[in-house]
Amino acid sequence: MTRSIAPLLGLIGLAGLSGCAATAMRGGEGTDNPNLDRPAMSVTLDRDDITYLVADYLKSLEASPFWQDTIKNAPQPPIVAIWPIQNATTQHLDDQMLTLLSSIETSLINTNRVRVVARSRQEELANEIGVQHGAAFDPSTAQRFGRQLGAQYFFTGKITSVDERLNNVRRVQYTLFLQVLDVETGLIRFQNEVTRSKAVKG
Amino acid sequence: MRAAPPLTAVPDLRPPLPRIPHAARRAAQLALVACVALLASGCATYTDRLATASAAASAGNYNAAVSDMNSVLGVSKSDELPNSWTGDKPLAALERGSLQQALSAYADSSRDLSATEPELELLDMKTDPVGTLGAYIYSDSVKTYRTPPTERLALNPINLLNYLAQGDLNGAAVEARRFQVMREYLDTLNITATGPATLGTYLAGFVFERLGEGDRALRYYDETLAGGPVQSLDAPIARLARSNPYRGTHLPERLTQIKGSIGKATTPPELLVVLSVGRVPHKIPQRIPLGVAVGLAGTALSGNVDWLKYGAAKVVVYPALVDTPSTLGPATVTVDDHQVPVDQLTDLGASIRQEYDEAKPKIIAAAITRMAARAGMAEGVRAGGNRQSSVLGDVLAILFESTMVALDRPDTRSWTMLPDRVLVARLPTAPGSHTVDVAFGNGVNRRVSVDVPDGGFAAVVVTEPR
Repeated sequence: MTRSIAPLLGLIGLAGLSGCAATAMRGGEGTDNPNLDRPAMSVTLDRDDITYLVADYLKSLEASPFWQDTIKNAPQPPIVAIWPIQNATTQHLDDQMLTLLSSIETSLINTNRVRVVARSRQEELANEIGVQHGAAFDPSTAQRFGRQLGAQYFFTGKITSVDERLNNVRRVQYTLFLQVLDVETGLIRFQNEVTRSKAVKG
Repeated sequence: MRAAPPLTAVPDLRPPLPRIPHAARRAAQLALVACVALLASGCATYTDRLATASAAASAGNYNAAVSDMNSVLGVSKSDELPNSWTGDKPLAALERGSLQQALSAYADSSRDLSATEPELELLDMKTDPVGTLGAYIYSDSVKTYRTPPTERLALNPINLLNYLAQGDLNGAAVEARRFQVMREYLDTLNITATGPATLGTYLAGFVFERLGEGDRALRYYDETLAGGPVQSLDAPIARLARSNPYRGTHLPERLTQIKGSIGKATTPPELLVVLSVGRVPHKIPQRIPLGVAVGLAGTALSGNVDWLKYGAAKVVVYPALVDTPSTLGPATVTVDDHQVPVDQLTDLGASIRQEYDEAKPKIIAAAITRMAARAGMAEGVRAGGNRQSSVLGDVLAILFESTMVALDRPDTRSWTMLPDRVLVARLPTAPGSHTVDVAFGNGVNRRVSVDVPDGGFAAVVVTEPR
């Protein structure tokens, strides 16, 4: 009997030990684990998705007549502001939105073709004119806001999702709409959409 | 200290141990399984484990209740989440989320509920073969907790309130959309959880109305009205109907009944007061005679229960649903010293009761099946023991079955801190500071000061799970 119990007790002990063991690892470029960032962990947006969305957007923007004709030919780099991108998805994306905005901001600054208003200044002004947190983009407010910031163009947009679940699969299809608005006229000078889907299966 | 090993082999002169027959070994192994089950699952039911937190919440001591839930979660602080989400931890996080909301710690409540939701979803999606096998011989509470539809559908509206209370319309909209996804998923399973659906549609309508999506707001309000008229919706639906075409099923009739001045078509600055009152019914272990149980289970009893005829136990233990007493009286809401009408929006307790009543035959059938499984295993123990001596077989069998009956703890788990009822008051108001007083009788009062922005809203969320 002792012999037959021993393996059972061993298994129980092993299960207990393995349940407690957590491992930390380093990953990404320049490490021994360069593909750590590749697998999807959930249906929310990760850095890989954000990098793809921003790259696709900027590629389209740089190829657009607006950029080639208006921005590149401007006597001096125009001042632009980035209005927070509206999250119209089923996911809480506050942190991802910050990364997305910062990524767009960095890319725009590095083109040396536009001058970007600091977001801290924008937030101050938004508080001053009483734009409630989470308010949808409103062209008339944006125009007033843009003038006060001295901006000629607004980069803004919205991210939406179609979220479905059937049996043990949940799929979220994201679409990022980004547009450039002329503060003076309210006209849309450029618009682009990029899509990305994520799914989780039980 | 150990003695040094001998340099040469010494013959073992001890008498040989008696050889234990295979059947007796098997009987002893089964007894060991019972012990392992005891170690793995503990003796207390969920109701027992929550007794202290429940008593603290009933006394209005929500801080103490949160501390108790921290222990259940295996964390030391209220802002910590567990490292693993096994067993009852997803449920415990829901309980703590409700208690944090009662403390007006909306960001903490939101963190708990938002962190739990994906875990619950994954649990729902994946199968649980180990838990299922364990539950068959022991108790349903061995399985990792999976929320029933009413609890699952209530999660997003309850979390939505956290975002509204913080003035975060975008966050509230995310919860409204998540609610809709879950509702559509439940629809594919032909499940309608009316209680949380009414709450969710009302709040989703409010959110999308404030976001300027009038047609979408009207769709949600139309669905809210499926549960009957809600006075606080009269002005919003009349206002929205002026500039939005959607009419749906219930709006046309309600629009003809609305009397009085509606005012401007634009959405005014507004104050929303949401009161989450009491706690839904909870489960306790209940013993009933076997014959009664078989009658209650009826056609739900499809498993092999032939072994029952050998069993010594003649009672079945199952999780019975009982009301959670509340010390609160009728609620009154006063804004700047003026009393405002309050609607009872939804009765989540009734929804839980209905869901339980529908599942009751299956719950009792599961308890009977477990009992039959135990009796079958006891017979195995008896047969093993009988090869040594018939008395030993009977003793081992009775011992085994008695132990298993004593260990059998029915699954009494549920989201016990979920509010029993949700009430709303809603009124257009001038922008600026306002004082909202809520009285529940028995000396339970809350005073909240809010600022309503020009063209915006303020939400006062008062949760009293007692």
